[in-house]
Amino acid sequence: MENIRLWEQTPNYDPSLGQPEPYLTPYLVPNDIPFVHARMPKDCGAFIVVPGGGYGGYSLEIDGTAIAQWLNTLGYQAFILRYRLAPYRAPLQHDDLSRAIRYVRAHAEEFGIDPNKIGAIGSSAGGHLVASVATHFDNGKDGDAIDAVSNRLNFAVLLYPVITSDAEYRHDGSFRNLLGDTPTEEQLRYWSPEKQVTSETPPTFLAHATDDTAVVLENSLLYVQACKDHNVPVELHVYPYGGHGFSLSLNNPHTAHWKENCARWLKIYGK
Amino acid sequence: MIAMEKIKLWEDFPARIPENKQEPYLEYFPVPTGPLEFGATIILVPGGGYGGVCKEHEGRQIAMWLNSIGYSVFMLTYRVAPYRAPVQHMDLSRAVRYVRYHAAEYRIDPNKIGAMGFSAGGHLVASVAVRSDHGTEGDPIDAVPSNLNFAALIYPVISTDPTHLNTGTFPNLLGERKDDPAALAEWALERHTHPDMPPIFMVHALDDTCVGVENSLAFATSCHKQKVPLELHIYPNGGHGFGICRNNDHTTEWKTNCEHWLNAVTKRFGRGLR
Repeated sequence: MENIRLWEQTPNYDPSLGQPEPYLTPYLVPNDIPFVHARMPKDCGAFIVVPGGGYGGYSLEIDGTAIAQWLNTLGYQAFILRYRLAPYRAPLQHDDLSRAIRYVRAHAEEFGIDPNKIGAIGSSAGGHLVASVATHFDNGKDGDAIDAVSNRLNFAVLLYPVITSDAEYRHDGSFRNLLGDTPTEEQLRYWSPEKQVTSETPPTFLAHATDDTAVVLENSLLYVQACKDHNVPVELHVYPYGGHGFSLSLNNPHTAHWKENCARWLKIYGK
Repeated sequence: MIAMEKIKLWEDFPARIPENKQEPYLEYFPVPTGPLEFGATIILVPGGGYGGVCKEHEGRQIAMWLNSIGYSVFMLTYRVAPYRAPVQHMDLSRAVRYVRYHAAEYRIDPNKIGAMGFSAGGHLVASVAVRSDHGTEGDPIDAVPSNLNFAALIYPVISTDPTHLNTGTFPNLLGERKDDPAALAEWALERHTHPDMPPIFMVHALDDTCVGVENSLAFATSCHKQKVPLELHIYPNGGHGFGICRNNDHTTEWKTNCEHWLNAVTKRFGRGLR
């Protein structure tokens, strides 16, 4: 299937920056093959896959394709999001993911998806973007027919996510790319998802390695504490080794157990 | 259930309160199929808020499970209130020394001796993980190191912060010193981590209202700062004291995660945590 453009005319798009307009790459398992019994359920769940890259790059292979294919094996339709990167600034990245969720939900029937089973999985800065949409969402807004649809996630998976803007644990590169060199206090607070969690934040699953020197473990710990404080069902798996960007963890069989935990978690929170 | 022989830790144990009948001892649960060559063993420390020892659901049931995945177990009965700190720490330290001293007899690798503790037992295991020695004066067993090679803490008590606890653990542990800031600081284990600690595994349920998940988060944060190899699993629900946990599809998975970790940390199949 071809890439899906999120807008006919992307708002705030600057062609001179040389970036593509935001789009989704669908990884769909057919659910209408005649005579094949091992097919997807009629109303399966879906994931928007949000690769990392510090808001300045895009780790498509590691955090995109591999994850999307794995989700297909679990019975989810997957859509890899190509969102805008620096020098585009917030909230455009948030707009892109929000639009992706609205788009998939608006077209749920067409994809054979249950509109109430739409989650997102984000890695590193992509985790920050997913957590931002998990904490800032609406029931639809003014605009076209797609904008009228809710962008609330039904569940969220965060892998080694960038979370906090607190200087001690902040991933500086991501925040510089997202907010520029001189963010206001208000901006830093707004884009620090652990400070934005409410009881409406969707159920969330996190995995992180302690030897992650790029995005330190405290990011996940802070988010879990915030979820606990607001009674959001959250699950966290911390592994001793794996570094940053372990993805499916093909070279560390121990850390790879996050996938089994996630698959089991999805049977409750992702159905 | 085979009646287990009590293994006395001391011929005549120290710090005895004459009128009190408690005595510290171990019960050995061998792997029924015989000793395994990789030789790791686990000292099992049930909880009970330092006011009792839950030897059924955090003891024998856990020992049966650990046996079933190939680990021999020594279950510790340690002294509780009115015995006060550091008697509990002495009992577990002695148990580690005892097992290490007799390692050859039990066909145990003396460098693969771990402990698993539940709730207050998790506090006790963590206290030995942060405070051990290379041997002390006394009998030949006392001369053996008391360090653990790996430590699993299941919904552990860690912090003495009253907002994170809803139990009598510290009044039981400290007695008259329960409000003494120095005593509380000594047993607030998140303040005593250091880089030479053994690999740590932790499990906690988010909705634990008895021993808050903050206990594990605080210890994880502190161990992480010291670069201790750390694994932590937090489940959305399960409450406190779930033990073997047959009634929760999520939280029961702690055993699978723990089995993976035990196999990795003891290099059972030739590969470590990395």
